[in-house]
Amino acid sequence: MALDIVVFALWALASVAFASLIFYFKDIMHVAIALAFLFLSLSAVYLILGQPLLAVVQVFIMVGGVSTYLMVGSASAVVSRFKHSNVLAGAILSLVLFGMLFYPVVSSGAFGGSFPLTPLTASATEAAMESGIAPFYLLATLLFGISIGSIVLFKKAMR
Amino acid sequence: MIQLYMLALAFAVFSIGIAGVASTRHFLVMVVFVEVALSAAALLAVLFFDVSGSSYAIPLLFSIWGIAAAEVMALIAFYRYMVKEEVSLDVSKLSRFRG
Repeated sequence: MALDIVVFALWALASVAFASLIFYFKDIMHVAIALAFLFLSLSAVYLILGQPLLAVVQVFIMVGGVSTYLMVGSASAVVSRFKHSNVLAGAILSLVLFGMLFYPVVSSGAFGGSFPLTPLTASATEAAMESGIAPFYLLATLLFGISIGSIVLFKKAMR
Repeated sequence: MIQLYMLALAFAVFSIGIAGVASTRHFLVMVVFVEVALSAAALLAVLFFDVSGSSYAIPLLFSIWGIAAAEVMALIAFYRYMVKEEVSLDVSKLSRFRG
């Protein structure tokens, strides 16, 4: 149980960090890569929640589709680079919004018990997906690494 | 019942997405922050599935993902057009665009 919480905390921190990096990066390509890593982190959170099919679909659609399309679309046009966000304003606004959204949840006392794992997709895919999830993730990681490598090569070629 | 720390993650990512949409000036970065907020909403849908006990979460999640993908496709087309026509990507300057 403690290991579950540590693993979840690592992926949760990674998700928040990658979302925050979008404020910091000036290059659109870097912003798109940070978004892709955010989707990967959320996919890992879905796995921790016991939803393997949703984790795989998140990787396929959001990382493999949306992020890739964003990277290719921004790379094939002129890559714009300017300071697009006020980091301090974004940080303050994020904290205020988080407080406003989360305080009513905490103060209601309605949440906080143990999470009974009732997978959405248990009836349809449990036996098939949970034993075969690793090859999907290995393939997705390999393909994602290839796309990052191609971006690096493209940037070197453009210089 | 839902663990509070999982709800905190979903709300934190959603807050970052909304704060980003409000504070950024770049057209495409606004789209990216909307994607962040949509993915946080999908995570919240998964968390609340157990509370409602319904099976409507799967169609809802696929709808969210489909909308996110379609939105990015349409807005990348706008982005390419704006770059080609040399329209500023700074949304604060768009009001100065004269047709």
